Amino acid sequence: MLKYILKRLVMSVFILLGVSMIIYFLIRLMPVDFIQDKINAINQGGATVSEETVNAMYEMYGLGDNSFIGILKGYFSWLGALARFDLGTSFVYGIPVADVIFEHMGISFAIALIATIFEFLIAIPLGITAATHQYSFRDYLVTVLVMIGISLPSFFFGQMLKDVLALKLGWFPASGLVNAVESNTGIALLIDYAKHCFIPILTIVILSIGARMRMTRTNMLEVMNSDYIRTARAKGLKESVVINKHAFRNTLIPMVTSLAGLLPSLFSGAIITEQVFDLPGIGNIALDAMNRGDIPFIMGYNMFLALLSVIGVLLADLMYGLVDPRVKLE
Amino acid sequence: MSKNSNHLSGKEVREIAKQNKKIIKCLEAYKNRKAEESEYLAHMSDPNNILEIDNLHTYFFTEQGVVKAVNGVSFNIPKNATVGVVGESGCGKSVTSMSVMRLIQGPAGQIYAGSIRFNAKDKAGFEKAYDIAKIPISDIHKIRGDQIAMIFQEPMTSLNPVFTIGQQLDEVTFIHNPNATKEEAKAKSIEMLDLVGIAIPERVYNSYPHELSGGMRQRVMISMALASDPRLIIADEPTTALDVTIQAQILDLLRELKTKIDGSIMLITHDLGIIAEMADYVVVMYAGRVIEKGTVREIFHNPLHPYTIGLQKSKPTLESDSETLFNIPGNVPNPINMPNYCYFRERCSKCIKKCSGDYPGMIQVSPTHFVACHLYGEEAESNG
Repeated sequence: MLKYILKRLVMSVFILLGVSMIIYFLIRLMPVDFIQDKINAINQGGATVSEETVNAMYEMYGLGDNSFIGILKGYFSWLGALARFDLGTSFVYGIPVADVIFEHMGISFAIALIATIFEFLIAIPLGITAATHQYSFRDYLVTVLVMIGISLPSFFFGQMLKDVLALKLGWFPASGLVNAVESNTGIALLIDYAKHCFIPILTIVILSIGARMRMTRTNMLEVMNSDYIRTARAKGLKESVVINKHAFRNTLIPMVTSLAGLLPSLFSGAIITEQVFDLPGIGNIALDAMNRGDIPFIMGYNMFLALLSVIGVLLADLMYGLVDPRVKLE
Repeated sequence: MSKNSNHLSGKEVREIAKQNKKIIKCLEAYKNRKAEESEYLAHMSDPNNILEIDNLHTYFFTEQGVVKAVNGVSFNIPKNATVGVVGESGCGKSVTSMSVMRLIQGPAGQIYAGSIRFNAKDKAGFEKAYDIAKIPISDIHKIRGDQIAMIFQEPMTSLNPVFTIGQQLDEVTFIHNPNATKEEAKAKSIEMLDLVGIAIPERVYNSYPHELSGGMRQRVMISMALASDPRLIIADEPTTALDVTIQAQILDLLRELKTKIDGSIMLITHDLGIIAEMADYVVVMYAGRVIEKGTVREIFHNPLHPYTIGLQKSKPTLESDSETLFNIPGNVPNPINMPNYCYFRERCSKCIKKCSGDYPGMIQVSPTHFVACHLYGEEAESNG
């Protein structure tokens, strides 16, 4: 078991190297130029920047040579810094990338975690009832409602909830993370956070229930038609035991697969929802960095997610061994 | 009959769906109702029978129309007897057994009419007959798995892959004796595994199903059926998925156990050899109906229905020199929109004028031998 994990971790290093190389080359080939934007901004102020200064700036940021060799050099210098646990300094914020990520990660993670917990708590029971009452009114009702949820674009639905719950009814603040007027501390601050995060979390939960519910329903239906469920019924078990013990335990197996993607999704931030509610989450920051060509930040952020993905897949594989006795990890 | 049921117009499909929905709703409501015990008590017509199936109709309401999988089946299972049910694939033998267990998959599959009287034994040891077809589904566990147990065709997939054999066996003990301790359940489970001839029951107890062979799994299934001390065991093609040597072992085991538990067996198979070896009575089914029933001696030495005769002839024997096996020409008729004449007419070599008439009734030829064929009616001679 330990040997298996170690082997997988060694393999992960090579995967991450490949991923980082691809991301770095893609970013360098993107048609965004942080330096040019900066110079344009200065030019608009009325000053002129000499050709020499511009070239010096390109050299300073390490973006001088855009040939293949130049990009390769840039990649290895990024990698060299990473080996010293240095993700570099963000072009836009001027502070270490790790600090930027750390600062904005918390809020995105909190929202995603709470939303995911509610998503599971709501979607799985709905999926089970829909499956056990297949083609009944209940099945159709649940399916139609969650389908509406899936189909709504988050910018539209988020805006709608904001409009109704915050602007019309005034129950919740419309945007931001803290109340700027009051200066709360301790528990009052937490309550303030909760109030601001309620609508964003509600939006994410409603939008994500559909997929998970459909998945649970499909898995459950497949399991409910299998021979061992018939055996369980033939034994004289009550229907509730058949469903909640014999059937549900087997639907966990495909569900574990989806857990692989869960870990990075908890940390990646909800870009559009954060935009709509003007939350200082990591998704919002990452989009901004992408638009402005903040290479160190994009690298740091994407590598962080890549690492989480690799760990997520490894954890999912280990989980298989737990939920399915037929899987042996070697 | 020549109507091709695969091609239905949109209007017809909608019409069928509408009718099905109405009937299914009604039948589901009946199945899920709450009822007093007195509502489904019955009277056995012969107290020496353990099970009396009387004019059972089990239908599947499909998009193409109503499939009458079991269409008026009647037969009895006497106490301490083995009754073999034979017939080719799709003749309704499995559906009959599933109906007895009330395991027909709803909402499409429903018991439409008829009764299944079962001579149950209550806790005090007195006999009490229930009509299984009338029991609301919430009360079925009084009988299912308790007094009637079932062994399925597919041992490879009939055990839950994520629980150990021990967990699955202990469950049976806990259902019937909720106060049992873990140790008692384990002791009983190991005793059962030992009973079905598993060499190292302690090890199998802790194994997962995928660690056992097909024969071992079928033994586990049998031990699971025995754990509740049933009065009737339904074995639905218990040896079909197993190779011949294991088949013989499993059949020996079943026969041995029947005397041990002092119960009856309903053995479903399409293998006449197994029937000859195991059964006391034989029921021959064709296209959802019983066409001939009698003692094993009567069916094998004096088969009357042309279909039974054909079945006997198509059995491979060592004595004959023929290189090819006999087969009955033609196919089973389409189960949707069954006509009201003998279903075997198109394949029968002994057709008489009367065969173009209504479906033949059951004709008694001896106290135990019945056949549904116009050849043996009172006026058969004059017509033939």
